[in-house]
Amino acid sequence: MRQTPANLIEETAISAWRLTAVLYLIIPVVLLAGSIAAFVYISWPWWVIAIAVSLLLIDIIFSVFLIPKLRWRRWRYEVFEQEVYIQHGIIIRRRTLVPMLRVQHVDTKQGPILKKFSLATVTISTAATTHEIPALTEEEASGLRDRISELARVEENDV
Amino acid sequence: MMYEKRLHPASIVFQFVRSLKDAAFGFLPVLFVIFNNGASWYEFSGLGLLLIILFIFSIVKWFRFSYVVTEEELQIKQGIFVRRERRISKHRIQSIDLTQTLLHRIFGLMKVQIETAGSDENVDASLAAVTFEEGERVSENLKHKGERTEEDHEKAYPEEVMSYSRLALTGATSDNAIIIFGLLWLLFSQANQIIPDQMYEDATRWLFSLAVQFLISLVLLSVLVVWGAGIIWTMVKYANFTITRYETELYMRYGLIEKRQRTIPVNRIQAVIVKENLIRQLLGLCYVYVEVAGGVNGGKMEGSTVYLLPLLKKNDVPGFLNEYLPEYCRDNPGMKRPPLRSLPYYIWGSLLVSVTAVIVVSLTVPAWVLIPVAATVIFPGWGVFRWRTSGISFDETYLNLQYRKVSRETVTLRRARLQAFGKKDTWLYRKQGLATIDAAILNNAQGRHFVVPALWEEDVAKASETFSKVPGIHKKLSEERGG
Repeated sequence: MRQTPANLIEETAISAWRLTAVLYLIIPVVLLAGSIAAFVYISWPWWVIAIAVSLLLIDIIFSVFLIPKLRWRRWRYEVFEQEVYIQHGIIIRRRTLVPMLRVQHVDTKQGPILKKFSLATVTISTAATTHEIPALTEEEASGLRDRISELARVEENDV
Repeated sequence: MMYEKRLHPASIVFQFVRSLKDAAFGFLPVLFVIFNNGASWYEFSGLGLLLIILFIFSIVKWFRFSYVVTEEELQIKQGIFVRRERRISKHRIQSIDLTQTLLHRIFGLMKVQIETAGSDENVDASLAAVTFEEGERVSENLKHKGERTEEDHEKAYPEEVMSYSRLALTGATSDNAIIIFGLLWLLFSQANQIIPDQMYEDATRWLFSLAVQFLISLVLLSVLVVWGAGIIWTMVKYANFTITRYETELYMRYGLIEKRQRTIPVNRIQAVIVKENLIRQLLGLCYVYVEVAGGVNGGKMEGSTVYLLPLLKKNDVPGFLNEYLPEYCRDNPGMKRPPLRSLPYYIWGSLLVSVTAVIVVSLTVPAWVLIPVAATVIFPGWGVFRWRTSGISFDETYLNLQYRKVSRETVTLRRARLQAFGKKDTWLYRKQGLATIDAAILNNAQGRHFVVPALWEEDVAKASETFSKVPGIHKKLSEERGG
C-alpha cells in the first residue's frame, strides 16, 4: 500500500463541494447576524463582533477555498480484479483495501448538488464497513458500480 | 418428528409477564390516579379487565405459535392476526443458544435462541419455553451435522471444566476488582490527610478521630463486601463452565441458577482475542474471547464477548488454542514493536488533555491543582505503557495485533477473514516512516476495527502485501525503478 491509487475523481467535485460549503455558510452567517443584532440592541462589546467576523472569514477561506481543493487532490481510487483500493483524508491520509470477496453490495447515490454537476457517488459496502468513492460522472459511477458488483459476484462467500 | 409443535404452556405465563412489563408505562398513570384520589370500584374493575385481556392475549399468542424441525430447516408459524411463517435453513444458522432462567428451571424448561448471519432482529428466531428434552432435541437437530452418531459419542472430544477455585480467582481479578482496589488505595493514601496530626493532640479530637477511623473501616468493610459479592456472582454465573470442541463447533455451557449453553460453528469465528487486565497481567493470567459473525444478541455472554475460557494462565494459551481452536493457534508470533520515534504520538494526546486540565483547574480551583498535575505525570506514563504494548506480526495466513487501552489485548486474525485493510498516515508520519494500521472484521452486529497507531510503515506495508493479491501497489516507486 505504498503507491497511490491510479484514478482521480472528477475535478468538478471541487465546485460541487464549494457550493455545498457555501450553503452550509448559512449557519455561521445567521450566528453573525444574531451577534450584530445583539451589538445593536443590547450593546455587546465591539470585539465580539470583530471575533465573529474574523471567524467567519477564516471559515470561508477554509471550507470554501482550501478544503475542497485539498480533498479533491487526495481522493483517489483504483479497482482491481480482486480488490478496491481507495485513498482519502486531508491531514490524516487513509488508504483502504477492500477485497472483492467481501463486497456485499454497491450503490450509486446522488444528492441535489451532485445532480446539478451531473456527478454521482459510489458506495461500497462490506458486511462490516462502508466505503465511498465520491463525485464521479454519472456514467462513470454507474459503470463502476456494475463492474464492482460483477467482480464481487464470487461463489465462495462464507460470511 | 415432522409434525407441528407448540411451546410449553408455561410460556403463556412468560408472555403475560413480558406484556405486563411492556404495558407498565401505560399502567403508571392509572396507578397514580388511584393513589392520589383513592380507588373507586370501576377503576379496579378496569384494571382487572385490562389484566384479563392481556392474559387472553398471551394465551392466543401461545396458541398461534407453532414450529417444526425438519431435516433441512426450522419452520416457525406465528402471529395472531397477521400470520407469519418463517423458514430458517440449517446452513444459515450461526449459533444456537440454550438458556434457563430461574423461572424456566422451576418448570423444567429452557429457551432456545437461534441466530442467523444478519443483524436483523426479525430474522432471528427464539422458542421462549420448551421442555428440557425438547430443547436439547431441537438444538441437536439444527446443528450442522444433525444428530450425532454413536461413533461420535464414543470419540473423545477435548473438554475442559473450570473449577470453582479458578472461578473465584476470575471474580477476584475482574475489572471491577481493579476499580475496588483503586478506591481502597485512594482511601489509604488520603487517610493521613483526612486526619491531620494535630487531631490526636487533645482528647475530644481524639474521640473525633476515632469516629473517623471507624467510618473509614466501615467503608473498607463495605468495599470488601462488594468485592466478595463480585467473586460469588462470578462463581454462580459461570459455575461449571465447560468448553468442548466438536468437529466443526465449539460448545460452551455454564451457570448455576441461570443455565446457558451455546454452540458456535468454528467457521463463524472472526477473531480470537487474549485480554489481560492489569491485575491479571501481573499474575500472568488472561482470558480468551472470540468475535463471531452475525446474530442480534451476537455473542452476548457478557457485553459482546464470547468467552472461550473466563480465565487461564497466559502460558497455557497456545496449548489451549492448539487443542480447542487450532485454526487460530499461532505460537509465539514475535511482535514487531513501534520505534522510539513513535512514542510522542502515544503520549501527546493524553498530555494535551492533562495540561488543559492543569490550566483550567489552576484558574478555577487552585487548591486542587495537584490532581491534574499528578495526571500529567501519570498519563504520559500510560502513553509509554501503551507504546510498549503495541505490536504487529503477520505471516501467510495470520495477522496478529497487540495494543492496550487499559487492558492488554492480543488479537489473532485470519487474513481471509478481514473485511477491509486500512493504512493511515499524516505528513509527519510519512516523513518519519510510520503508519497506523486499521484492520476491520465482522462481529455480531457491526464491524469491529482493530487500530494500532504509529507502527513502522515498513511493517504495515508488508502486512498489506500478504493481505492483498495485487502486486505492485505495495512497492515504493523508487523500489520499482531500482528493480
